[in-house]
Amino acid sequence: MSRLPIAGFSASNGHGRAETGRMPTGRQGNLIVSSSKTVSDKDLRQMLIAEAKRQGKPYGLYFEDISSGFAVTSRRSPQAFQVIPLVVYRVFVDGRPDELVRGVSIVGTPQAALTRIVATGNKQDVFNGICGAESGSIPVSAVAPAMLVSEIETQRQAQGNARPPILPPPPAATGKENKR
Amino acid sequence: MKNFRSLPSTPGSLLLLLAIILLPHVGTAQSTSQSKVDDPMLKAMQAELEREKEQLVLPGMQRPYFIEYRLDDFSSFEAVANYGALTREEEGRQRVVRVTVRIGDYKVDSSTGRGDGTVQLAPQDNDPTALRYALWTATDEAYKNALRDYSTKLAALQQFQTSRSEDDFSRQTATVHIEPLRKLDIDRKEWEKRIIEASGLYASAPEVSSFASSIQYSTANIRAMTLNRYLINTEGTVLRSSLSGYNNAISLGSQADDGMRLARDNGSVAVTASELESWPAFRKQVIDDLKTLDALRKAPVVDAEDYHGPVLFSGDAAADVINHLFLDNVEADRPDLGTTARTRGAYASSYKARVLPEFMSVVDNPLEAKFQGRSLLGSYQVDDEGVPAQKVDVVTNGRLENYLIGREPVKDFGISNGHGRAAPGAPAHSRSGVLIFTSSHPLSPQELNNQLLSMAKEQKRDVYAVETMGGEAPRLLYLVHPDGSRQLVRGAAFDELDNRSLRSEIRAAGNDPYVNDSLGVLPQTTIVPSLLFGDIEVKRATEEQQKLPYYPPPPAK
Repeated sequence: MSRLPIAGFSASNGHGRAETGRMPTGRQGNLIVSSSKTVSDKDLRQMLIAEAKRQGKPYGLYFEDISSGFAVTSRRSPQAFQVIPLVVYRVFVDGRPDELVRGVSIVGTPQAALTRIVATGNKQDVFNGICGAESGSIPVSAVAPAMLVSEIETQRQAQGNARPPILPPPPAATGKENKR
Repeated sequence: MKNFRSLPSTPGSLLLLLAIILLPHVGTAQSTSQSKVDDPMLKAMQAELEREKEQLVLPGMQRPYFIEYRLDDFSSFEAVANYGALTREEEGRQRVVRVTVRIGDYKVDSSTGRGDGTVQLAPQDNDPTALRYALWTATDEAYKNALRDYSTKLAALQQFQTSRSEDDFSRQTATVHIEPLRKLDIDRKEWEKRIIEASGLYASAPEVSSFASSIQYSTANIRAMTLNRYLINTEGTVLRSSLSGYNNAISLGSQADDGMRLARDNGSVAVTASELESWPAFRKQVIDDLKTLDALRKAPVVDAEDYHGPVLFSGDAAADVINHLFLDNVEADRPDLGTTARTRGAYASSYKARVLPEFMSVVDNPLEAKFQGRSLLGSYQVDDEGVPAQKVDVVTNGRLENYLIGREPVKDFGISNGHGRAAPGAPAHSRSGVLIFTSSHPLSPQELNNQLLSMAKEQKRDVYAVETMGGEAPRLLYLVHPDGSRQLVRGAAFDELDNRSLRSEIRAAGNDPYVNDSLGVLPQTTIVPSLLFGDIEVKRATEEQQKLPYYPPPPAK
């Protein structure tokens, strides 16, 4: 909350934040997510495989790292979000080794996605980043454990089909050249 | 790990055939491109250009017939002071490479007239490998774009029954020219001190402090820039050129009691910091500007009814008029594809026609490095397409004899006259260097003023003289009575000041050339004497008058 009251909240709770030159609005500071149902990483992985099996799927997905994401918060548009992952693995139910995949992103609506958390890991990780919204881009932190979600929607990312460079890169300079 | 790194398979016989056809051309170019300059940047550029020239081809497509690499190394410094305090200090350095690839031939090629090419950031240190990587990706993209543009252009040309006959790109002999590198050279601390003091003079100087409360803004700044430019092409041109520019300025603003916004802007522009105005001169300039601003505040508004008659322009004001009305029109820009006009602009069909009075002539001479002992900003030896600068007779005895042109020909002008100029990172276009206006019957300021007064007496009315322009409107405009006395007026605008009035209304020109150095997108110089116009419209500018501040400024220390 910033000092701009909304229905049911009449006072700021010290979260009026802004980029230089912008008007502050209620923004995230250090968002810390904790869980009362934690398991070890190893158990969480087993739970993923078990859940995939139960749903009759050949694999589950493990999102290790993401690059960015966004959520639509305007009232005129559907409340949807998209997360663009960097490193995603298929975790197979039949015991094959995990397979790195690319070009997949997570989409959905926050309400639906957040109600399907089955369990979380037992250690929290820190995300430090820049968040952009009505009052500009500000530094924010989020702390959260790994989460097992029973159902999430993914979609293929738009794929470029541009031709790679025609020539190979120039040869690296030899040591001699560098010393000049 | 998978990654997209697929390379085209070894090209087949078509490529071999192309290579054989191109060999003689490659051979001649190579003989001139072996320059003896020991510059790590030029060497890296040449190495990459050789490789791309020999190998770059998409199987089944045409090879480039021309590749140009340009590295622009731009350094700048700027400090700004407001109300007697430093408010900004910035130093910038950027290196960009610009790669131009042309497909086709000199007759018809892939160029679009917009200025084609691809830009990449280049390493700040002299790392040859990093530079070659930047050139490699930029060349790849420029080549692919050129292939696309070439087929689009050939298709577009099919739509026209006739098209212009001149080539798309002029053939020029290769140039090898190396200039020393330039570095920013300015006493920053001293200039910061000066701009701080200059921007605070409105309140601190006893001679003007009585009206300090009417000053709404007071900004002084100092700017410095250097550009070291490296240019090579597949024709064998090797160029390293450099330029510099320095500028100190004051900007003051106020409002008259009726709400009219008033401003004064002044300063000096020079090739080196040592040629900028001295502190006593700068200080005097600021005081004079403050005094004229106060005089403007108290001056009557120009007559509400239109005036049509003589107006005397000082060299300063005349230079602004010329830059606005004349300059663009003698810089030859190619018209749209399929049209048969010569150039764009007012003088497209004025070749050999009269555009100025018969007593006036204009030359553009970038080789003129100094004028009356002062270095000129628009001077250069070789242009940004590697063509040596030439002195061009633009207008002789009032007739338009030549356009200023780079390597993209227009009707009747098949080759460059060394006026292809480019802003940092931008493509080259036809631009002036040092444009000099002269009269065959120059009059002294006294004679000019007498002629103005005799016109006033003859017409039995007051006339006008303008000292300084602010954009296209007069800033210091005087109502001149037949007896020679003058009254400063404000709130005027000129009308009917156009190319027709340049051709037919200039009655006399002075012997007092004013040097207008402009450090805009490109450094350019225009040298114009005072001009007496016979019939210009002066009217009242009808702009909305905003309210004065509700409160006086905060009390001074």
